[in-house]
Amino acid sequence: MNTWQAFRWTLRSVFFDKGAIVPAVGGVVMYFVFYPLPYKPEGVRDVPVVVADYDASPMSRQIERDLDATQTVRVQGIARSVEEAVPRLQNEEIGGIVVVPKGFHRDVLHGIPTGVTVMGNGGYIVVDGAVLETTAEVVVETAAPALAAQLVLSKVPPAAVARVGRAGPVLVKQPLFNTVQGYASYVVPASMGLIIHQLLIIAICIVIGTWTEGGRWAIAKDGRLSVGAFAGMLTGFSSLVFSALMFWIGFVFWYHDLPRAANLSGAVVFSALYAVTVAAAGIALGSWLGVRERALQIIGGVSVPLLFLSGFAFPVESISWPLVWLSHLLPSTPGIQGFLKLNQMGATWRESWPQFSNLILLVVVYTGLAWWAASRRAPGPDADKAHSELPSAYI
Amino acid sequence: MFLAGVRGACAREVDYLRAHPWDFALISWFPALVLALAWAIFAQGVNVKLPLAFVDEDHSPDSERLAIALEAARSTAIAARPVTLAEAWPLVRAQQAYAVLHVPPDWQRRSQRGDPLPVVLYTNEQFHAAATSLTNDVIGAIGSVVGGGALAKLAALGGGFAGAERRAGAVRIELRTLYGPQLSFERALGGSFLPALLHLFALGGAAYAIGREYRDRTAGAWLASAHGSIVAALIGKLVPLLLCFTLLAMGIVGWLVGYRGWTANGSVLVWSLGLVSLIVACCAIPAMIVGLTGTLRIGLALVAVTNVTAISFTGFTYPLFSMTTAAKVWSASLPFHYFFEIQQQQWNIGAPLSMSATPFAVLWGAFVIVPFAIGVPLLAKRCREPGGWGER
Repeated sequence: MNTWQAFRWTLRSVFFDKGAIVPAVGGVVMYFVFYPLPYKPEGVRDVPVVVADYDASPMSRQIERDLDATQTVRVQGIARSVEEAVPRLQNEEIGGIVVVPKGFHRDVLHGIPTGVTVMGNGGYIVVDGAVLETTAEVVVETAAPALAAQLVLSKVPPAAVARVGRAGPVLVKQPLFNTVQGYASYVVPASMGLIIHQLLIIAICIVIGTWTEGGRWAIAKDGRLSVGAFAGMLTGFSSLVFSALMFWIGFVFWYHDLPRAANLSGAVVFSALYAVTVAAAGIALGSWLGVRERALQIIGGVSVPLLFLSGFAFPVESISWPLVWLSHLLPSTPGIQGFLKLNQMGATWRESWPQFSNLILLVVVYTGLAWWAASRRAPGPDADKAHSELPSAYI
Repeated sequence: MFLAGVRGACAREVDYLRAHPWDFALISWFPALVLALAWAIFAQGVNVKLPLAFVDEDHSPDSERLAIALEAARSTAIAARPVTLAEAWPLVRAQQAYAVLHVPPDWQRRSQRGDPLPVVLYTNEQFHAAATSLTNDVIGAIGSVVGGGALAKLAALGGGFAGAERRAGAVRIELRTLYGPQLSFERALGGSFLPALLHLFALGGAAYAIGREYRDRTAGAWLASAHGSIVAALIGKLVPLLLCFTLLAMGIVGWLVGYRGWTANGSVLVWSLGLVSLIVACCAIPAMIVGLTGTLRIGLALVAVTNVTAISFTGFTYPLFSMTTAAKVWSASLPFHYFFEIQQQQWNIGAPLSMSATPFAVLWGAFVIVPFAIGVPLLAKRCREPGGWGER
C-alpha cells in the first residue's frame, strides 16, 4: 500500500472496529463528562465540623455562626465534649472538631490567655488543611473586637488600637494562572495529556493486535512494510490523537470554563508533536503485545505512576533523579508539562523549549521503535518465527 | 467431587500460566514492578527545596533576613533573584520557579513607621501541590521576620514586652492534625495509591483470566476440567490469581509497616483483611461483567474505565464532602470506596474495629456476593452456548 492507502486503511480499521472506536472516540468524549465530575465545585466547601462547646457563651455561639457562614466549613452539630465528637471524626462523618474551652468568652474579655483547639483528620490532607486554616481565621476575626475592647480598657489610646486594626495584611497571596485556585482547573487540564495518551494507546494497540492476530497486515500485502505504508499508518493514528487533543483544547476547556488558550498556536504545534509521539508509542507497544485486548489490562494500572512522574501533582524536585530521568522517556511527562505551559500558563515557545525538545527526541525514538517493531510484525506469523527477538505477549 | 473440580480447574490454570509467561507476568512481577515504582515516587516523604523566585525591591536588612529565613526553610529554595517582577514571570512560565515572592520598595521603613506594605506571594496554582508547600514555608519565614516588629508595636501600646506577649497570646489557636501528623507523602500517598494500583491490576487480571476462556473458545474445556461445576471452575481459575495478589497485598503491608517502619494506628490485621476482601471483590466484579457481556474486550474495558479513577472519588485528593451528588453516588458504587474507609480507619485513624464492620459488610455483600450470584449462572449459561464464544 502507498501512504494514502495505508492512511485510509488505518482510519477505517479504527472506525469500523467497535473495540477501537470506543476508547478512541467514546472514551475521549466520556472522560470529558466523567473526569471533571469529582472536582466540579472547584474549591473545598461544606466540610462538616462539630464544635465541642464547653463554654456555651455568646462568643462561642458567634464562632459557630461565623464558621457556618464560611464556604469551606459547615457546622454539623454542637457536642458537649470532645469525646462525644471523636467517634464522628473516626467514622468520617465529619472533617474536624473545634474545641471552645470553658470560660473562653470571659477570659477573652478579661485579657486572660485562652485558646481554641482545632482538630483535623491527617488521613485526608486536603480536608485537614481546609478545616484548620478556615477555623483559625474565623476565631481570630471573632475574638478581635473583644480583644480591642480589652486594650482600650487597659488604657491604650483608642486611636492606637484603631491604627493597629487598620494595618493591612503582612502577606498577600496571589494565585497565578488558576486564579480561582480550583481543583478542576488544577487537575483536569493537567490530566488531559494522560487521558488521551492512555485511551488512544489502547485503541492503537487494539487495531495493531487485530492486524497481528489476522496474520499478515493488510498494509504490507507483499510481506514487507514499506516506508510509505508505515508513514500512512503513523499519520492515521496521529490524526486521531491530534483530533482528540483539539477536542479537549478547543471544546472541553471552554465547556468546563478551565484556564485556556494562553498560547494557542504553540499548543497546536505541540499537540501535533505529541500526537506523533503517542501514535508511535502505541504502534510500538501494540506490535510488541500482538494481542487485541492486552493493552486494556495494562494501561489502567500504569496511569497513576505516569501521572505522578509528570510532576504536576507531585513536584519533580521531590522525586529521585533516576525516576526523573526515566520519566523523560515517557511521552506523558513532557506532554503534560508542555500542555500546562502552553494552554494554561501562556509560556512562549522559548520557555516551552525543554518540552518541545524532549518531544522531538521522543518522536525520533518512538518512531524508530515503532518502525522496527511494526516491520517485524507486519509480514505475519512466519516472519515472527524468524524474528524471535520480538516476543509475543500472547505466546 | 467439588474439591476435585476445583483442583482440576486450578491445575489447568497453573498449566496455562506456565505456558503463557506474559499472562503470569501481569499478575505477578509486572504489578510488583509498578508498585515499587509508585512507592519510589513518594519515598522522599516531604517536599524539599522547591524553587522560588525572590524579587527584593527593598534591599533592606529585613528583606535580607527574610531571604535567609526562606533559605533555611525545608521546602523552599531561592532559585533566582530577579530584579523586577517582569523578570520573574518568565521563570514561572518556564517552570524554573513555582512561586514569586515580591518585597516592595520601602517595605522595612514603612513597616517600622506603622504603615506597612504587604509582601506579595504569587503562586503557580497549576502546580498546586508545590505551591501549597511553598506557601506554608513563606508564611513561616515572614512570621519569623516580622514577628519581632509586631511584638514591639504591641509593646508600644503599653505594658512593655511582658504586656505585649500577654496580648499576643491572648487567644491562642492550637491546630492539631490527628491521625498522621507527620504528613508524610510516603505514608499518605503511598499508603493510598499502592492498594489502588493493586486493585486495578487485580480487576484486569481476573477479567482477562475469565474472559479469555470465551474469547479463545475454551470455555467448554474449562468447565470440563472442573467436572462440569462452574463454581468449582471459577474458584479453581481464580485461586492462582488470588494467591498472587494476596502475596502482593501482604507485600505492601509488610513493606510499609514492617520494613519502612510505619505504624498502623488501628489493626494491621483488619487492614490486611480489607485489602484481601478488595482483591476478592476484584475477582467477583469481572466474573459478573464477563457473565453479562460474554466478551473479554468489553469486560476489560468496563472494569478499567470504571475503576481507574476510583481514587479520585474516595475523597482523598478532593473532599467527598464537597463533591456533587452525582460524584458521591458514583463513589458509593465503587468497591474501592469501602476498602478506603477500612484503610483510613485502621491505617490512619485507629478507629474501633466495630466501625469497620459496615464497610466490610458492604464490600462482601454488594461487591462479592451479589456479583458472584449474578455472574456464576451467566458464566455457566455461556459455557453451554458455544455459539456465543469467540466474540472480540
